[in-house]
Amino acid sequence: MNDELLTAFDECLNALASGEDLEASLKRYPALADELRPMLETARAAQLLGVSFPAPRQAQLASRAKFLARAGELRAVQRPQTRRNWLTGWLFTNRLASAALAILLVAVIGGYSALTVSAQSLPGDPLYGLKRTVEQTQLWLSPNTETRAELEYQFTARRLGEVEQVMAEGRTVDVEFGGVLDGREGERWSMGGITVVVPSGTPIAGTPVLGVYVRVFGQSQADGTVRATRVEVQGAEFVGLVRAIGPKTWQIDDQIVRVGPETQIVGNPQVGDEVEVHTHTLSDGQSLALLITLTRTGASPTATLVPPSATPEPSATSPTPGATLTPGATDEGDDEIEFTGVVESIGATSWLIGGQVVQVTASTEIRDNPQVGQLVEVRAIRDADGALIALRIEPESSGPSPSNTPGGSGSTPSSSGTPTDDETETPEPTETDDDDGDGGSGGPGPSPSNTPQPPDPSQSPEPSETDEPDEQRFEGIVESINGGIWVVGGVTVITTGSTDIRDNPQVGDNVEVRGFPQTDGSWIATRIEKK
Amino acid sequence: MVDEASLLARARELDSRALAQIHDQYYPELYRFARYRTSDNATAEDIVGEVFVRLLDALHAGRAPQTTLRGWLFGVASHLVADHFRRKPALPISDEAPASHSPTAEAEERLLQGEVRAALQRLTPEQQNVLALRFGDGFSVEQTAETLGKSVTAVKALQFRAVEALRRALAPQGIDS
Repeated sequence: MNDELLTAFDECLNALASGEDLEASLKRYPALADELRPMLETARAAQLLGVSFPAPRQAQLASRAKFLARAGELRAVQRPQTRRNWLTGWLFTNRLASAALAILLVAVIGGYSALTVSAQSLPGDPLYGLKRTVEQTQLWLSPNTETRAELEYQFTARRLGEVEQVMAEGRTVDVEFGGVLDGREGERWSMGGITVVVPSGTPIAGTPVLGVYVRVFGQSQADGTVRATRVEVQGAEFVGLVRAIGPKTWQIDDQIVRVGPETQIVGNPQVGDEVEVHTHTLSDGQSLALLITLTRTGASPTATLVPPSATPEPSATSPTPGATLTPGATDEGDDEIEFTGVVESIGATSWLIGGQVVQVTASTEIRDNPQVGQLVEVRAIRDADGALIALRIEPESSGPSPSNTPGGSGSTPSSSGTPTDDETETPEPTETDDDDGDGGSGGPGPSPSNTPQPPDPSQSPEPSETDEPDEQRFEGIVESINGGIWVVGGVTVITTGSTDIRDNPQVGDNVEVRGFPQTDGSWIATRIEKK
Repeated sequence: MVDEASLLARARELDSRALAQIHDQYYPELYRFARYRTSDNATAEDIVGEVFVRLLDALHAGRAPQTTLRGWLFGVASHLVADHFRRKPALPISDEAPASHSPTAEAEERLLQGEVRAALQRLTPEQQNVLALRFGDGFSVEQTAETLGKSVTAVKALQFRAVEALRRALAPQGIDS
């Protein structure tokens, strides 16, 4: 077993994984073919066992909820940091003040002890009511809606942990908790891994369908279930088009939903895409998104579509890294999509291309052996679950060289991430030679048909001595203003406390936006000025 | 590319965003690994759930992963898989549908898959892990090396020996593909 054999074997394995025929891969090493063939045949059998096993969504969600709930419980029992240095020093030098403080401390210590103990109490414990009162007080004292939403989610997770604990102890006590309904069979429901028995006749407010957030009031049982006495649907499940994406809220159709660490986002939806949303309605009426799943790309009927190629020839553009989805017609039917993107990783049955997971099958035509880091054009269809099945993958003729692309061979497909919490290294925005005016890849999202075309990042930004380095600008009609999120010419523009907004532009006004385009198509504005 | 050091630092503080990011990032690949090793959805779910419980316990106790986070997570997953087989040595019958459509071909394919799975169980845990990472997760040699804490050369040798051992285990059945 020498290095040449090991390297040849590994290269042939990779070739097989990308769909190459066994004989074709053996042709690379004719002198070793006899030795490699039986090994590769065996490897192929083992590879076939690795049919893509996507993690079941509900199982992943339930695991996530439990994980975060448990973390919340552990945070509650973590000792607070104390700063002793300045206090002990002060007390040492001010003995009279020290004595007075000691008397005061004795007076409050009784109450403080009660608070500390109550934090760990469970349903049925004497101090559990105090614990809930403290939580309510924290909610009332929340300085803003974001803090309130985070607290409420924490407390929700805490309820789940409490129920698990009392059931583990075999206690029969009154409980209440909430979670995503992930299973329902007759009277037995499943939420966050907890089995809830809902006898017929139990009052149910709302329509409890799978995937929706529900709150249960009932009693824990010795058999490890909860017997419900009341059920309230406190969430919704709906499908809509993404209108705007912000750091803390998204607009989907006319609904504003809050996003945070508890939100799972699947499929990297962009403005103009259709998504399925599962929400939890908080006590103040805010909708907290628990799950946002891309169901269809560029679904807006008024979206600016990249014109489909007349022939399946590679585009003449020099696209930026990342995927450009060109929804709509190909020459083979309405359900096919084409897009270009950089190959981020190659697996046995799936590739990651421009952030999109694409399944490859025995029927996938892979031309010219694309490698990680190479720009490719993908033709694919979606199956019933929304997964992309590649029909063809081929290098894009004018793409960047592998050395210029992000991720490289070390990247690993990841399922989701929140666009608001993106800590990945993103490629620098680059200019594109966009000859057909289609907006270029990685450019802004679609816009309604009756408004000016979205800005074309391929157009060189007008240099100005007042522009900061890399700052760009574009003009468009203000379509909506929703707090810090504007939509201008179909582009999501995010304003911050530093954004200079001049002349009080309103919806319908033509404005010039200066700022920094992001890799997701949105802009961070430094200035918005009415024209 | 996520700065793993800062992610771990925040996770040690039990920062919910960091923990959510870790769960979202690693759950799918841990699931595929456990599924490849155990051939059972429910078992894979239980194992992966337990991996994250142990991560929380380690973070809370101040025992942060000393290797890469991925390496630590897969190390725990590997131990849990081994524990699973110590308790339940029999492999479940897989319910995954073979690609074939004809009943005869389907039956043959199921038989072959069952024999390959049984043969896999005769490999060392390290050999099984490398095949699970390469074929179950679709990791490159470099990713596999990072996960296992080995050099690329060592992983190439390990995967070769693993397939060689698998071939010997299948040989009595006269199966090569």
